Amino acid sequence: MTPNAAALETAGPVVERMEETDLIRAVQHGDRDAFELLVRKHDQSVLRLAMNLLRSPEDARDAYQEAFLRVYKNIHLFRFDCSFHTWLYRIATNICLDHLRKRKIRREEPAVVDTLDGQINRLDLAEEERPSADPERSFRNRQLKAKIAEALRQLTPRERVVFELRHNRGMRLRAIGATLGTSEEAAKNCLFRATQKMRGVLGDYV
Amino acid sequence: MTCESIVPRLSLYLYGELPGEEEEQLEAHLEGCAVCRKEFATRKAVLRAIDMDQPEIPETLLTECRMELRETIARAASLRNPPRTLPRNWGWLAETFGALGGWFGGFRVPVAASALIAVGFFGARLTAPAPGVPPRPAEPAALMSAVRSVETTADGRVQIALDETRRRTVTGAISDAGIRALLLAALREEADPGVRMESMDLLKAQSVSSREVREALIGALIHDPDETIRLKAFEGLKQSGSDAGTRKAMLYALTADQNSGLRVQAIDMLTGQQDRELVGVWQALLEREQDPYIRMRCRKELQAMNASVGTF
Repeated sequence: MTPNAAALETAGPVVERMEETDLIRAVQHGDRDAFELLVRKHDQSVLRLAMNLLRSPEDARDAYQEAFLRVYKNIHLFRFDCSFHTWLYRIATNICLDHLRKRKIRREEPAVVDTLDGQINRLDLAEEERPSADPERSFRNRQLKAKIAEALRQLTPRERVVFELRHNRGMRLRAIGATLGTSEEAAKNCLFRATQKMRGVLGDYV
Repeated sequence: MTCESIVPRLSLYLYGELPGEEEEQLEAHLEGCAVCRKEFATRKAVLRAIDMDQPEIPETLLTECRMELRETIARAASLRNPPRTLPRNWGWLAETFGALGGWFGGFRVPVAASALIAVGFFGARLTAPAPGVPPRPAEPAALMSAVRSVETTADGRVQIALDETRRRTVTGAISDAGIRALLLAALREEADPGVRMESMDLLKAQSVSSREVREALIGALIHDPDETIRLKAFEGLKQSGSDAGTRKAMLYALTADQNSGLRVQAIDMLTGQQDRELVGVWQALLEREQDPYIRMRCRKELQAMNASVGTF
């Protein structure tokens, strides 16, 4: 979180004491100021979700725009029968799922790319730029990062989303089911398959 | 529970997603089974390793996303909403600036947001005036039009919808309501920071006497991307520092503005009054603020109120 973003979070409750329900109703009546406040309440977590899932700032930015524009266009359809957070996450995860599915079809995101100097693992590049006092540890870290990327690539888009929501966002399986429009049991199965795959790829490297 | 039945449950157990009874059985099994304990440790290590591999979010990405979203929505809204009413005989000038939004929204529409096509008088001849609206006299200034839609009518002709903008020059005193409305619109909506700066310079002395001007300055203080303009807005608002809306905006600037010079000015304005409602703000700022002077002022303010500075 940037210092500025942190400051905004602090400012939020002081500057604007509107309850979320009031904010949503105001947005439904066309109040763009209220929309901006509503966005600021939730957008850091949406951006983090998109970044974790898509692992690319450009794609995360696209997903952010698409999610909040969809919220803006469809807020009149929000009927308070679930929390706004669930509704927003449903939109955001669906957008990320679409991105992941398209990526699978286009077979984007190759970890290993060809360069003039031969094949390079993209995930190693950032690490290589930083000199390390312990080359062996640095090598192990790079290897582990590459393996994590490999493990994540083995997950289906849905498994990846369920894993992200449970592991990084700390959502309960019941809430994940509600967000993805599926059952708790189906979310549980997805999580199980995801963790099995990751155990298979990473078990020998941890 | 057997080892075979334990393995599929380990991850769910790690996430606290097992029913209570199964959780107890699993724990009992782990206590007595070294093989499953090892498997459990491996899975835990796998999840911990993934924790360490969170992609970094570039520092400016959130701000960029917010600005982009604000601009997209402003564009959509300015096409949908007609301009607000201006004083008699000034209404047509609002077209130059698009819709006049509320101060707190302050969504600025970039001038180059939509492609403008110069069609001169050709465009004027294509578009018939709306019923009841007298035709405008021919203008010597250039007419710019943006094509909004192109359709073919049932009889095979082409129907083009245009948004027209004319450039005109108006002269008047700053006390003139029409001139002031234009300056306010320029301050809120104009993409050129030079124009916003000029408007700000002319308006800022009137923040005490005019609520409208005060609100425009507040909007600029909160939303203007140019820090010099935000500083000027702050200067202008100092005279109306006792106004509740002004104080709220200054508080916002203190906690959210990236310019530390502006934050320093804000803390100077807001401290010294020992406002009990702001204790939480000073405490939070003390924890997050990087500027030592601001932290010092927060500490002093809290001490003056005998409020806690160490625990939150």
